[in-house]
Amino acid sequence: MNIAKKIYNWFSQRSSLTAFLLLFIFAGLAFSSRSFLSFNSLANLMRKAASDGGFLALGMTFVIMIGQIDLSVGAVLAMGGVIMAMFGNTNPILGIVMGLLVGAVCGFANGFMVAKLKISSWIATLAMMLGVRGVVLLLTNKKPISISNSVLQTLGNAEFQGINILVFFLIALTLICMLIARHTKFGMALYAVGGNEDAAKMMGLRVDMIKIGAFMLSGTFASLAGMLLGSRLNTCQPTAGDSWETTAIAMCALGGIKLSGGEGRFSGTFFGILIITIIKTIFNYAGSLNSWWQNIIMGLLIMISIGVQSDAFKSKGTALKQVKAKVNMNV
Amino acid sequence: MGKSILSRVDRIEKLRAYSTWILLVLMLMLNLIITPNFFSMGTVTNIITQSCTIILTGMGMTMVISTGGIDISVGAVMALSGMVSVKMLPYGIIPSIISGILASLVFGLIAGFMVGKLRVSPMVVTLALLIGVRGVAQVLNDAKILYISGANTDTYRLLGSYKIFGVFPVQLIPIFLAIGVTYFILEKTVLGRYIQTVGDNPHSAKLAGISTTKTLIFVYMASAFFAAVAGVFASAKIGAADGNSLGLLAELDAIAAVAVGGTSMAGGRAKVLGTVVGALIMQLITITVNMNNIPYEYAQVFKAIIIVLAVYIQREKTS
Repeated sequence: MNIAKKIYNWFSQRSSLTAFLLLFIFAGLAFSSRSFLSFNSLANLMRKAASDGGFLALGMTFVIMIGQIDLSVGAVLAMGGVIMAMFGNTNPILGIVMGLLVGAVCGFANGFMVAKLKISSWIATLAMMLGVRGVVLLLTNKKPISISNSVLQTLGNAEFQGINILVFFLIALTLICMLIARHTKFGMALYAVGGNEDAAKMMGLRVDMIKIGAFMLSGTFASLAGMLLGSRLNTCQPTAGDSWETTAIAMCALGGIKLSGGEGRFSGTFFGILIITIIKTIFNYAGSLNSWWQNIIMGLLIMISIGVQSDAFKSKGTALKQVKAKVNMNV
Repeated sequence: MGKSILSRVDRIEKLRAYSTWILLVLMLMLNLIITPNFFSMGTVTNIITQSCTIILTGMGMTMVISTGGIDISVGAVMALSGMVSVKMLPYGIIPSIISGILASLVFGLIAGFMVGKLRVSPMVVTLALLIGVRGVAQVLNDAKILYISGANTDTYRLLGSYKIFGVFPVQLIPIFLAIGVTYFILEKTVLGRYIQTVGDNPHSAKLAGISTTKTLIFVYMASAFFAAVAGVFASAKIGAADGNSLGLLAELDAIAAVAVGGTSMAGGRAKVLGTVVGALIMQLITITVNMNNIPYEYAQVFKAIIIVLAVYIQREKTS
């Protein structure tokens, strides 16, 4: 009984993992005849998770954790890829550095507008999204840039043990992010700023710097996503990542990152990424089902997962716990 | 000496308050100089027809943002109402429009309930609706474009192309009605005070006996209503309803218009006329760029700069 309760509690605290496992088992049973659980199809699932917005969600998590939002990630993704392609065909190292740099600069501009100019992150990053997308389209003259350098091509296409290199990148970065969030001063500060900005300021944290840092990480991750996507496809589209910011936010929301800030784990985001990918895969497998239902299911799933996490249900529980704790103390 | 300094501060303060209007006038003057044939009836008609969507959705968005929330589902709701209206057209023009609006109001109610009652972050709720409602709009016609055809076609098309007195485009009617109703609600009614109080400080609003739940449900339903009307007029103008592209990114235009207009994103301060000016500025940038044969991408960059500038100038100095 006690063990069952412990297991139940462990899973209910990790709603994203639970949802992923349920979907995974469902897909495994439903498509067992078409070998959903084969190595190839699972490797493919992971590759899709990495290339279709996974990195954006990781970067977005930093920003959401401090209670802000970054709408510019889709545009910065295109910018990162295009800049890498422009510089990288002759000198791959320069291309990679420039690509990452441009992402960091866009992130810095976002953070500066939010932290120093006190513009709402909605507006600042919305403007950044419009501006960066415009600049990318002007830079490329609306034409895709192909990648001919072999180093850059390997960056997105190399395989190890039959698994695409992007998957390793995604897993490694998730682990690094988890380390940053749990075990560094910066990570702790993120939670503090997201939880209560005024309190964080009074504690002596440099709130402005932390905000700018979070936005810079988000921008860098976005440009990295664009670079890896471009490398995998051997071409960088100026329209890449259009409206992917919604997908990234949805991944975070499904991963249990609280959108008002201060709560959430990177492991949650990781499973949020996998949930969205597995839903897409399920619809691909179920060919007869109209694929537009995918959006409806995804919307419903977000609704349910958010509704369940709602404070309206939680507050009763915590209030009860507080009362109990008080009673215990008195006894 | 002291007096002159004070009056100078006052003057700067006044300039700040009217900065969007000044920006609009400056842009009109700039156009007068550089754009050939700018002041013609054609340009006026263009501005009115093209700013219909952004002003209508902007009115709903002004209300939502002044409660401290956000509604990013308006574009999807537009697609839904356009799709439902065109689908129901054979049953008569009035039933078709009403069914389109009712379908959208259901989702407005859901959003209001989730935000007001369950206290979920408005962004996630409307994000789920943005994805889900567009899915519904796509499924309704298997993601194909639904052209207006059959009975009542001509009447419905008039909603997009009719000219009042043969001069003014029909879109003027919903624009003026929406602005009038929103202004009246926000400035002249108790409900309007409630909306802004909820945005200013939800806790004290509750202590003052205001039902935040009801207020929020009303606000999100109003936003869905305006989006639905915008969807009907947009589909009538195009002559078809496309679940994939109708109202795509309309939410961002609306948010930009509201922000440029001076409504605080933190809530508690609604500026209805400011939103209208913001919408006109955004539309004017597009038109300037188009009429001068500049690539449209420049318009995006200009818009970005204008948004940041306008919001920076008008930001509140406290906090």
